[in-house]
Amino acid sequence: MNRSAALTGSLLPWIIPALAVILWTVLTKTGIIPGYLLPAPTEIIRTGYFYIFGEPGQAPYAGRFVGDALASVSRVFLGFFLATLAGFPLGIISGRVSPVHSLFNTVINSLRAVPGITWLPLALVWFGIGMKTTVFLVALAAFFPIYLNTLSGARGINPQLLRAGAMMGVGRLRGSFSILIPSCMPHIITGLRLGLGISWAYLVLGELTGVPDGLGAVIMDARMLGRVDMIIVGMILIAIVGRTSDVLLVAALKGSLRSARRMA
Amino acid sequence: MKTDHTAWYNANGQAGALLEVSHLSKSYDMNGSQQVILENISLCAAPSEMVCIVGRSGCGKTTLLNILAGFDTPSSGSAVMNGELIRRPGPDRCVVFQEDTLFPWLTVQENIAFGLKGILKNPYRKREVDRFLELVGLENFRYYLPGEISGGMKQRVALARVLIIRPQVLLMDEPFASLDYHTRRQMQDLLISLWEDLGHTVIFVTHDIDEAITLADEIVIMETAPGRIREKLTVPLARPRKAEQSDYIFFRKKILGMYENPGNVRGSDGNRQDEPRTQFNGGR
Repeated sequence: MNRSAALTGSLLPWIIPALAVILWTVLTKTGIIPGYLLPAPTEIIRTGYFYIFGEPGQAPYAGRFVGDALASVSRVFLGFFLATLAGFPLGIISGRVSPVHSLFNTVINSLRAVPGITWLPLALVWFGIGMKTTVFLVALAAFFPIYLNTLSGARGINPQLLRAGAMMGVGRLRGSFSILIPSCMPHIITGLRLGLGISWAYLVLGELTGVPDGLGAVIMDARMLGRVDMIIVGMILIAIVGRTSDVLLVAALKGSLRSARRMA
Repeated sequence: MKTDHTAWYNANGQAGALLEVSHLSKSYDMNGSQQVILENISLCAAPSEMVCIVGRSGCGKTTLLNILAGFDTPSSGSAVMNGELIRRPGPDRCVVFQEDTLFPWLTVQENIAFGLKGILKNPYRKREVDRFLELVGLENFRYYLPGEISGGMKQRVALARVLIIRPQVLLMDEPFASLDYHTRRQMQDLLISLWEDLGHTVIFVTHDIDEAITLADEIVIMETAPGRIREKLTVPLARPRKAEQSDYIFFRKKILGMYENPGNVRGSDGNRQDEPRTQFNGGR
């Protein structure tokens, strides 16, 4: 690839976003789209700046970002952690022990057929508004991709690898940790990433119900006050934090597990 | 260095046999009908003996090897190692598989060290790994992953990772079948030299008659559907064996003749284990 082609290649992905921002600016500045439906990009930037870097009291929502982000991240982390704690071992065991698979598979797939959102009313009755409901929804939603991907990885392992371990005198327990889990690492990573992604979706759902803090809560609060600029800032920040958490998850896995480093 | 590979230790499984298979049969239930894979197999291997099992695809030789490895169980008859019935896989009987079964997330040297974990501590383990890396000629590839080396190198790693735990019996299931001609010849030479160094018994399954003649102390010829032993031959040729030698060629003709004229060797009662062994003297 020559230099100009490389340049075009690196510019190409930014053309559509740039055009969109230009179009957005034109439409809002000329008043074709009124500000109460879609504020101008400059307004979004100003609101975002105050939200992240401002002093509390300086403007509505100013300086609340760190507290909201911490609240949301801790809910996602806790829910995702619980989902992993249940989904990963269950997926591994179901993948290798067929009675366990028979025992759980129908139940889990039936539960999966229930849309996650429909758990919300029940969760509100059980846990009330706040942390517990949000964590419950996140954990429930993240469980399925983690479980299902780990399961398919464990079921799909080349049986000759396990045989190779057995003939070298590796017992079942050590074989599970040193052969089974590393060999399905690509599936496990996929499951964890999908689970974390869906965690953010269900975080917002849980926070929309009226908790005082969190990125989802801010969006819902801003809707009631007609602050479309703040809604958009919240959406963008959730995207950024969500994507960052995905990058960190992959980096942590690759940093700590050589099978993740070498196979994914 | 062993001196006399041509010695015939034991024909019928008396004292001295390390591995002994007697009247072993294996059948599977397929769609309600019994499919006989192996029928009345008896053979044995002495310590440090190289036995090649030759047969066409589908003669059950892989099934036989799986039973010896402990991955599968016979329907009747027995497979005995050191006087004990083989029930499960164990490090005294290691397998080199036909396809690549290295652990793809481990480097060459980590794959070779795998079986020693928990058995040998460092620095002794590292020393052993170094020694076996050198034995199979992969010192310069120790940090490579299996996905980054050739098929021949992979089989060298597969050999090293099992030989390092000193199995009494090395079971090989057409390990060189997917390699090109020259690599296959190299691997055969390597196998012989490792075997001469380490003195394990080898049960080598192949469909390649030349490979069997090149390697074996004893050749067991199997026939197909159901898998039965047609003939056992002792190969009295001195090593290294060359395919151009006249006695080698004579041997190959004999074996090919058996394939072309079935029924001229055995009776109809299927009980060939009590027949006198056919001895070839290499045409001399």
